[in-house]
Amino acid sequence: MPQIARQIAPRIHTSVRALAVAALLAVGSTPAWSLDLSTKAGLQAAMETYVEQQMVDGKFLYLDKQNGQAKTLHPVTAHPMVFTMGANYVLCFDFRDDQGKDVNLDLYMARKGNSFVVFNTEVADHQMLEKFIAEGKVKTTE
Amino acid sequence: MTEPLPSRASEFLPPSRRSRSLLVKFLLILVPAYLCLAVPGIGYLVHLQLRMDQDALARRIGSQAARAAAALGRHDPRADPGLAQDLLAPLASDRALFCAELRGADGRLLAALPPAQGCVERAGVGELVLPVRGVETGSLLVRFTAIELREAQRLEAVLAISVVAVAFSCAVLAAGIGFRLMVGRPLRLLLATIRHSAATGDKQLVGLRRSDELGAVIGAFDEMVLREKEREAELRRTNAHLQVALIELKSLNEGLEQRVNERTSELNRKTVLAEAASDAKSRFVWSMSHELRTPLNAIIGFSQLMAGETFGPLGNARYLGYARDIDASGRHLLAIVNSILDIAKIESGTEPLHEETVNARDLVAECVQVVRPLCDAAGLVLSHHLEHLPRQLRADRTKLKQVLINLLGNSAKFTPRGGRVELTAGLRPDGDVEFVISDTGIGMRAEDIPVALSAFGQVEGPLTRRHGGTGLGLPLARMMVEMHGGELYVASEPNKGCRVTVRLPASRVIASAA
Repeated sequence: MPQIARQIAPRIHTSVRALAVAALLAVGSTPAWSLDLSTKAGLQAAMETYVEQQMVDGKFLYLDKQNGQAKTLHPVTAHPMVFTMGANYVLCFDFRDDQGKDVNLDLYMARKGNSFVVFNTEVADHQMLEKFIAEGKVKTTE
Repeated sequence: MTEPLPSRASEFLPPSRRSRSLLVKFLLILVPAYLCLAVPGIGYLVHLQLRMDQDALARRIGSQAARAAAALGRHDPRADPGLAQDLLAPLASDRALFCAELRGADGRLLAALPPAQGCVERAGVGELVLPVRGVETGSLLVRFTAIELREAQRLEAVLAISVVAVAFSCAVLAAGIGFRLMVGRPLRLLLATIRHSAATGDKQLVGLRRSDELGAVIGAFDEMVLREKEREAELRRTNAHLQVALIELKSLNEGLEQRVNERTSELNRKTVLAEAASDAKSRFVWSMSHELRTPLNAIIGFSQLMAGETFGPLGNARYLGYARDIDASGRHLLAIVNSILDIAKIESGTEPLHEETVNARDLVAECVQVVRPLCDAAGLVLSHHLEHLPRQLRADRTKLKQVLINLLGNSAKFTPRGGRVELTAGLRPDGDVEFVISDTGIGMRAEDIPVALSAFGQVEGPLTRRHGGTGLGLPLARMMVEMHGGELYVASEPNKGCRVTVRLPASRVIASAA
């Protein structure tokens, strides 16, 4: 057996070294658009604050441009995922309408000093964000 | 005694080659492949999980801070400091948030978490500053730590490594067991069967039914063994038939041998009788010939006296002619008797060979001289040629001369007038001495030659009857040549003459002194 071990050991050693390098590349590398925890938490807080401020009697109001009606939405949860769009960010918030249908709110945000502000919202229009992602203008973050 | 079956196929290999067993090679391929695929995959999953954990933590921190800021904005902290402190209190339930401070627009501390202490000299990995817009605009500072992320990272790393290790061990174990079941066991059975067959000669089937490639190999092996057995059975049957045939052949051989022995005994007995009869015949012929010569000599002598009228005239010319006829007939009869006597002597082995040194050229000249009158009388041309004829031979001069004279006489006798008789003597390339007597006579058919060479076998025909003769000259010449260790050949065609060759062995040549 020691003879077998001596013959196998160099091969295993080489294989393990190659695997370690591969693992480091896969796990240890940091993408250029990675965000730190403070930025992400700040964005989440700004989004929550914006939603909170827009709410009237616990309901989020928005204008249905097709029907010309103000509709109410009920907040459900904030998405943890953060997208980047150049120097700006995109976050999402899930709502439900009065009929219980899921409605998505995309919030386009920009840094302002130590905090963030919402400069555009898209209600129930996720296609635009998908288009920006497809065009490479919006990217996911690490 | 059956040899115990090894538990591993690799045990069939010598110890120095077990590291090259199929299982080791298989694992050497499997392990790196597994590690190449599993480690990056697990690593990527851990990375995704960590990112999700970070996103969730960020959302939680942001959400709690935003709600606290919103709640604080709905009240006047200055009017009710205790309420502001209460509104900050829920933040303490989150272990990631370890301090918070509510300050007014002038920077004065209105509420803090921990109470009355706030974030003085406490640093985290990050902080949030949220505006609080209420009766008085202020700001909420929240500091947080990512210690739970690091703990989760460590836990997930340990879990991932454990999962990889356990999965790797299970995979190697399963691969080893699977390999042994799928490959090792069939190979072990096959090798054991082959070794058993090689050691004992008893061909056995592996008898393992499988649908994979090894099953095909084992099936082919079993099929080969079955064919081998069939061939062996066929060989055994053939061998049994051969044994029976051999016994029959042996029986036949014994019978044949017995018959041969009987025939041989009978033949020996007949040979003894024949030899005795031949001896008796030869003795009788010799005796009779001897007895005949005595009165013949008297007849010839008295007839010569009468033909020569030694004691006075016979008185009548016819008596004189009769006396001469008696003399001629007596001489002819004496010649026949002499020939018969010679043959009898030779056949009985009583005629010795009187070897002496013979001058071959003189011998040829003498023979030609003897026959020349006969040829002249018959109107024939007689010639002789010597081609490197040795000067001296070791032979019986009388017999050799008699041979040549007999052959030349025969040629002269059977060659019509105007023909040619020729004697050529010389040395052959192989050292033998050769005398060739040829003529342009009546010749004979090929099938008559053996008859002519046998005693009293003169070929029948008008010419032969016309020329007479006993037919003893040619066989007598052959016998005399054979006494010298030589050979006599006759080649002839009807009406194209005859060619008789006398060949004496090279040992008869006496090398002449230089």
